[in-house]
Amino acid sequence: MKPAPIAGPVNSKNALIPGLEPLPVGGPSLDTRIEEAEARTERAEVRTEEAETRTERAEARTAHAETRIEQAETRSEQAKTRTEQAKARTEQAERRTEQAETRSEQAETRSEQAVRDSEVSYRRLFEAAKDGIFILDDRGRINDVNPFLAELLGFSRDEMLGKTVGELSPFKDIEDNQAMLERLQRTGFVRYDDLPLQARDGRKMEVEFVSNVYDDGGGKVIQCNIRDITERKKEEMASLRLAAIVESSDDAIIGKDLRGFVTSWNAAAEREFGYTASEMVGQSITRLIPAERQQEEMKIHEQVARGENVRHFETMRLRKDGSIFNVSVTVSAIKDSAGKIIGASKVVRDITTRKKAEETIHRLNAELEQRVTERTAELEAANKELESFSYSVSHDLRAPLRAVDGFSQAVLEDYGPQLPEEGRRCLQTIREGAHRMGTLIDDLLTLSRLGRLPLSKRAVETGDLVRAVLEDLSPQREGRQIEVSVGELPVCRGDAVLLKQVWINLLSNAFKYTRRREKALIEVGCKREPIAAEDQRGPEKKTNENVYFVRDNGTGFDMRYADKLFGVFQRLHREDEYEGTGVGLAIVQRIVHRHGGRVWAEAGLDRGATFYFTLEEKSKP
Amino acid sequence: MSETTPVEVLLVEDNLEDLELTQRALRKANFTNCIHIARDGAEALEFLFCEGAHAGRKIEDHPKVILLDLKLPKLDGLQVLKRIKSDPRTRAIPVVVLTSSKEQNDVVESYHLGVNSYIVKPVNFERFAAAVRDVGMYWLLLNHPPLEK
Repeated sequence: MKPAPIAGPVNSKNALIPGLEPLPVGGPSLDTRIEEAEARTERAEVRTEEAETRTERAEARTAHAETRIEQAETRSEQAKTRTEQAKARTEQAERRTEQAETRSEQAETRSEQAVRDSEVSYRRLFEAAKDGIFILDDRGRINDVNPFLAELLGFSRDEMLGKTVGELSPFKDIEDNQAMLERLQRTGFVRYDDLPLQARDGRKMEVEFVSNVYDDGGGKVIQCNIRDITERKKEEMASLRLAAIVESSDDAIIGKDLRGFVTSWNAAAEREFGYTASEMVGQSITRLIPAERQQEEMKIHEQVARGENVRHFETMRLRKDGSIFNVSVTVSAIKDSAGKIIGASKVVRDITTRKKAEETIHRLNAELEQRVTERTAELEAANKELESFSYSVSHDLRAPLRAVDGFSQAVLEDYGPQLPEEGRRCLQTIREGAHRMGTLIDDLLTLSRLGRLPLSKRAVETGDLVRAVLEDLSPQREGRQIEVSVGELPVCRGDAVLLKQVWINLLSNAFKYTRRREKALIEVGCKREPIAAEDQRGPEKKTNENVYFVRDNGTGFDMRYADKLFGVFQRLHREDEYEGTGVGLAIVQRIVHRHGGRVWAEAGLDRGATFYFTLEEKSKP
Repeated sequence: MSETTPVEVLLVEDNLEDLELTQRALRKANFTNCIHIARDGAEALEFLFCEGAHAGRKIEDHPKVILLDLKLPKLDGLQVLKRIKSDPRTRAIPVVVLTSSKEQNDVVESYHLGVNSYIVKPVNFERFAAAVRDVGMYWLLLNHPPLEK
């Protein structure tokens, strides 16, 4: 507050102050008195002004003081508040300090526990580790050995304690203990990646040997970890071997991923397709496939992606030079260890040569087929002709014979008494001729039928068959002294009806040609004989075969004519000595040949004969 | 031979000599019954089914037995046999094939068609005569045919 101005001329104003009436004139001089009044008024006014100014100043000072008091009060309150807050914070700090102390104590406790736990678990690890562990002192002496290593090496823990590693036989060949120790001291670390060891029992293995030096607080300790990597090495070897096989394969072996990009490409693939591995790996497999086969490749791809393998699929492939060749493709899914399909391997074999060979075979087969067809047609025609021939022989040749015989008989019956003896004999001879020709025709028909009818092969009890035949032939033995001995006859495989005919013919011959013996001796049997080399057919070499025989003590024959024996109509005796058509042995031969066997005879003139025959072995397919 | 005489044997045979020998054999065996002879298959069927020259005959008056050769002119024996055995009116008549053929095909086919006997004529006349005698004895005397309506 500003003090009011204390002095100033106020002349004009005096007259205006109400109550101050002018004093009556008559004193000292009026004017003087007026002047004096005016001076006093002026002084009073000055004093008033001064008083007013002082009042104003006082008021201003008072206001100022009031303001300061308010401020002081405010500050005082603030101070009070801060003090309270400080007190509260102090309390909190104290509490936190307490808590911190508690936690710190707990942490210490836990830390101690952790150390104890850590020691236990380390021990457990040490005991249970599937790696061998040595703990050595700073001089390299064994302080501890875990059970796995003891087991691996075949030494007990006690045997090893206190020794250096080099003193144990499995390690005697590795570098000198001292040298290793020095190296360890120098580098703190020694590692052998691939150390051959032999366990105490001689078992060979390969190990990874790692030594570390560390301070356990009380001094230097060496820990050696020994890992048996024999299996891993074997797997690596196997893997290398497989890789070598793949590389040396004659077939192109190609790996591709699921998108159809080539991941591996072996040497044969380079040869077959003309692309090098670097040209193909990372490229799409489709560049090996002719345009018209792309669709097919898609299908194969889908199939493999479903986990189905494709085997020996025959198709075409495209070489780098643009040529196309025949291949057989085998595609297998490649799976990761989790069994997920991650790609496919393709084995591609060039089958051009085989295809050509197949085509040649097909062509040859077709030609052969054609020739067989033609030949069959010819044979069928010939067979037809033969059939109609034998049919007509059967009918047309027999009818006249029957007439010859029948009418000769009619003459004998009706006019016999009127004929001279000679006439009757002649007619009888005519009849005998007709009968013989009838037999001949029958035999010939039998022979021709044998060549045409299919064989119906089954196991035949030869012994039973021979006994039945002997029974059938018993009329031929009437009035004669014949001794027949039948040896052991093994079962054979053949057409029973036809084989019976063989035995009938051979035994009939034996009876017939022993007719002049007082006592006929006939022997039937079978012997095992090695097969002559040229008769061994097929890869399964049978060493022995059954040889059936019929031996007699009859007339025999001269071996010089043996080759004629089995010919049709061939006879070694005159009709008046021994009747017959000369077809019987031809029939025997035809039947035996149709069974795949052989027939032959041994004889001497007047010293009997032996007929042998063989049949296919029962075991033969 | 009159059409009214009941025929006991129908002999179908084209070969004159065989025909004579068969008749002789039948005669020797004292079968003098009425025998009708047909010289081929067509003639045999005409007689049996009362056609052509035999139109006046009654089909019911069939022979007691038919002796049938297989190798015949026109229709062969197997065709004749087939016709006889496939017609209900003639099916019951016994048919004996009397032939020179030993062919299995003929034998099998004859039985397949329903033949009652199959006899191969032997070359030897004595055996032939015996066979004819036995056939006659069996079919004419021993065999009992179904009664006619």
